[in-house]
Amino acid sequence: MFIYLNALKNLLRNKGRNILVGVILLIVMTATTVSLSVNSMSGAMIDNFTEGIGVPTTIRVDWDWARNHMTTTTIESPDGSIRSSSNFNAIEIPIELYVAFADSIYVQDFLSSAMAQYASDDIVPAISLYQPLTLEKLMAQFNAQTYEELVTMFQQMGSDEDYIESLIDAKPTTVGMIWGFSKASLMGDFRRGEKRLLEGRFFEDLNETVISSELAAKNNIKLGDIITVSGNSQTHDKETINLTVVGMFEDIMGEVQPQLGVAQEITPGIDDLIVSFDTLYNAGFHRIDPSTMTYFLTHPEVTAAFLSEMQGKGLHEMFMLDYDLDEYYAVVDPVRDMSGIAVTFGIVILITGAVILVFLSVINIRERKYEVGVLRAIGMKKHQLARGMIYESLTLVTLCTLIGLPLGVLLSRPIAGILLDTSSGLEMAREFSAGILSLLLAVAVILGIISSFIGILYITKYEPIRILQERT
Amino acid sequence: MNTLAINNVTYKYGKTTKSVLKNVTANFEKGVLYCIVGKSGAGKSTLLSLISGLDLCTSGAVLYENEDLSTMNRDEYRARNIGVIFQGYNLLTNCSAVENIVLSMNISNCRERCPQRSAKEHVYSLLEKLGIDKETANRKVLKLSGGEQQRVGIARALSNNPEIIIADEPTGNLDGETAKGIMDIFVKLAHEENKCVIIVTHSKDVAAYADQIMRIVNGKLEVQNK
Ligand SMILES: Nc1ncnc2c1ncn2[C@@H]1O[C@H](COP(=O)(O)OP(=O)(O)OP(=O)(O)O)[C@@H](O)[C@H]1O
Ligand SMILES: [Mg+2]
Repeated sequence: MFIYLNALKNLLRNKGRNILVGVILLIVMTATTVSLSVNSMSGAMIDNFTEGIGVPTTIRVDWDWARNHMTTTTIESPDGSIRSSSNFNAIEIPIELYVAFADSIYVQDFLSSAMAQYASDDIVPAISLYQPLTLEKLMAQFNAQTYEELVTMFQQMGSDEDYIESLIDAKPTTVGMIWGFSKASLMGDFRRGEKRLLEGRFFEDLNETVISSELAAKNNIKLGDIITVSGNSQTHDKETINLTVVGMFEDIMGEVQPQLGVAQEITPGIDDLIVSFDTLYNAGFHRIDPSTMTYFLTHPEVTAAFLSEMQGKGLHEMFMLDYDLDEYYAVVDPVRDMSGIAVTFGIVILITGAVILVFLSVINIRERKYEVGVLRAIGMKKHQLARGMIYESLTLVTLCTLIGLPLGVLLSRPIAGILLDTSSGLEMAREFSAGILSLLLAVAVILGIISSFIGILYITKYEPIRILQERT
Repeated sequence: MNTLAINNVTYKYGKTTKSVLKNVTANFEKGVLYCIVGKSGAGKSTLLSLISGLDLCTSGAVLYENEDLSTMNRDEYRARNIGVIFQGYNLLTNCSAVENIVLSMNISNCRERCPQRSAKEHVYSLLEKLGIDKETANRKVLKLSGGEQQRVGIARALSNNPEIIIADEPTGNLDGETAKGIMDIFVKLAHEENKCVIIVTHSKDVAAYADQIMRIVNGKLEVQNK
C-alpha cells in the first residue's frame, strides 16, 4: 500500500518529467484510438455497403469458350453450292438448376423470373395474339421439305426440337403467358411506370395472381375470383391450378409494338397473368422458361467460389458469371486506402512514442539512480522498488488512457470524415467494439511496461553501494 | 552471544591491489557505545558498509547474531536490524524530512513495533528530540542546512528502533552544543535502551563518550584502552 502511495507522491514530486511523459502517452493513446476507430469504422462502412447492395450476378455464355467449341456444318443449297457454317448451340439451363444455385452461402438474395404459356377453359383472351399451329403449318411457314430440315433450321436459330414440339403440341385453349417474379418490385414495367396497379395489390402468397383490367372485363372477373389454368401442352399438361385474383393492372403503353432498334425487356401483356415465382415454379407446367435470374452475392470476392460451386451442381463449363465490380471498387478502394493511412499513422505514432518513452526512461533512471541507491540502502527490496516504478507508470498510463480514449473516440469521427470521402455513397458507420477496447488496453499496458522496464532492469542489475559510490 | 562479530575480514575495492582492511576481527555487543577512529582514508566507512550489509567482504565473515550476512536476507537486515547514519546523509532530496523517515519506517514495516502512535507523530517527536521543529520537518531536504540534514539522517536511522545503530561522522556538521545533545542521545540508546551503537569519528570530544575506542591503522583494527 505504502509503495503505491509513494508512487503517487513520486508522480507529483517529479512533475516536469511526468508531464512530459504524460503528454507523450496522451498523444500515443489518442492517436492509437483514432487510428483503430477509423480503421474499424471504414471496415464497418465497407461491410454495410457490401451488404446493402450485394453483388448482382448473372449467368451468361462464355463466348471465348463458345468460339473454341463451334461445330462446323456444311449445307447444300438448292442451287448446288456448298456452304459451310460454324455453329454453336448453347444448352439450356433447367430452371431447377437456377433455383438450386441460389441455395448457397454466397447468395444473399436471389431475384428470379420465369414464364410459361397457359391455357384455360374459362378465360378467353382480350386480344387474341395466339394462333394454334400444326406441324404442316409450321413446315409451310418455314418452307421446309422434311421434319429433319425444320429441326436443322430451328437449331441454327438456337432452338431445339423440344421447342418445335411445344409449338405444335399447344392446347387450342391457350390464352397467353403466365409470369412468375420472385419479387413484385423487380417487375421493370411497373418500376418504369408502363404499367400501374389499378385495384387490389401484388401477389404475396402462393397461387395469387394479378391480371390486366382488360382481361378481367372481357371475362367478367372480379377481385377475389378464382381462375383455373393449366400449362398449354396437350400431351403433358393434364393438371390444373387455381389462382386467386388479388390485383388488376392497367397497361398504360397498351400493346405497343417494340420500336425497331430499341432493346426492350419482354414484359407481360394484356392476356398475361402475373404470379409469384414460386407459384409458377410449383405449378409443374411442362415448359417453363427462365427469364431474368440474378444472384446477389454476399461479397465481391466470392464470385470465383460461387462459380465453382455452381459447376459442382452441374453448370456447364460454357457458362461464366457476369458481374460488374468496377463500381464497387470505385467506392470501396478509397475507403480502404484511407483506413490504411490511418493505421500506418497510428503505428508510426505508437513506435515513435515507444522509442521516446524508452529514451525518457533512460534519462529518468539516471536521475533516479541516487534515489534507488538510497532506498535500497535503507532496506527496500528490489521487487518493492520495481512495483513502485510499475505503479508510477501504470498510474500515468491509466490517467492518459482515461483522457486519451474518449478524446480519440470523439476525434475519430471528424477525422474519419476528413480521411474517408463519405460523399461516395458510403454510409458513415459508428464502430467502437470491445475488440478495439481490449486492443487499446493492451497498448496501454505495453506502454506502461516499456516506460518502467528500463528502470526495473537497472534496479535488478546494481547493488546500492555501487550506486551510492558512483555519486561521489 | 555477540550481536555483531567481524571474523578475520579482509576487504579490497574491485580492481585495486591494496587491501583496505586486512584480517580484521572484532566483536560488538548491545549496551555498549563504540567509537572507531582513524586517519582519513583508513577504511572506516568501508568497515561500516560491511557491517551494514551494503557490501560483502573479500574474505572472512561478518556475523549478525551468529548468522553470516553474506547468506542472509540483507534487505531485511538493513530495514529492521540496523540503522545507518551515512557520512553523506543519503536522504531523498526532493522529499521532506518527514517523508524520508516515514518511508523508511514503511520499508521496515515497523508499524507492528510501534502501533500505539501514528507514524507521523512518532517522527515529529523523534525530530523534536534532535532539535528540528515541525515546519522544518515538512520542508524538502534540499532546503535544509547540512546540520539539519545530518539530524534527519540520524532520525531516520533511529525511527525503526533497530538493535544496531552505526553512524559515520554523525556530528561532522554540527556545532559543539548540538553535537553534545546528539551524543547524549547515543549514550542513552546504548546504556538505557541496550542498543549496540557504533560511531565513526575524527573528533576527540566524540570519542570521549565511547565505552570502547577502536582505531584502524594500516588496515588493522586495534582496540584502544581509554
Ligand atoms: N569505490 C572505491 N574504489 C576504490 N577505492 C576506494 C573506493 N572507496 C574508497 N576507496 C579507498 O579506500 C580507502 C578507504 O576509504 P574509506 O572511505 O573507508 O575511508 P575513511 O576511513 O572513511 O575516510 P574518511 O575519514 O575520509 O571518511 C581510501 O583509500 C579510499 O580511497
Ligand atoms: Mg569515511
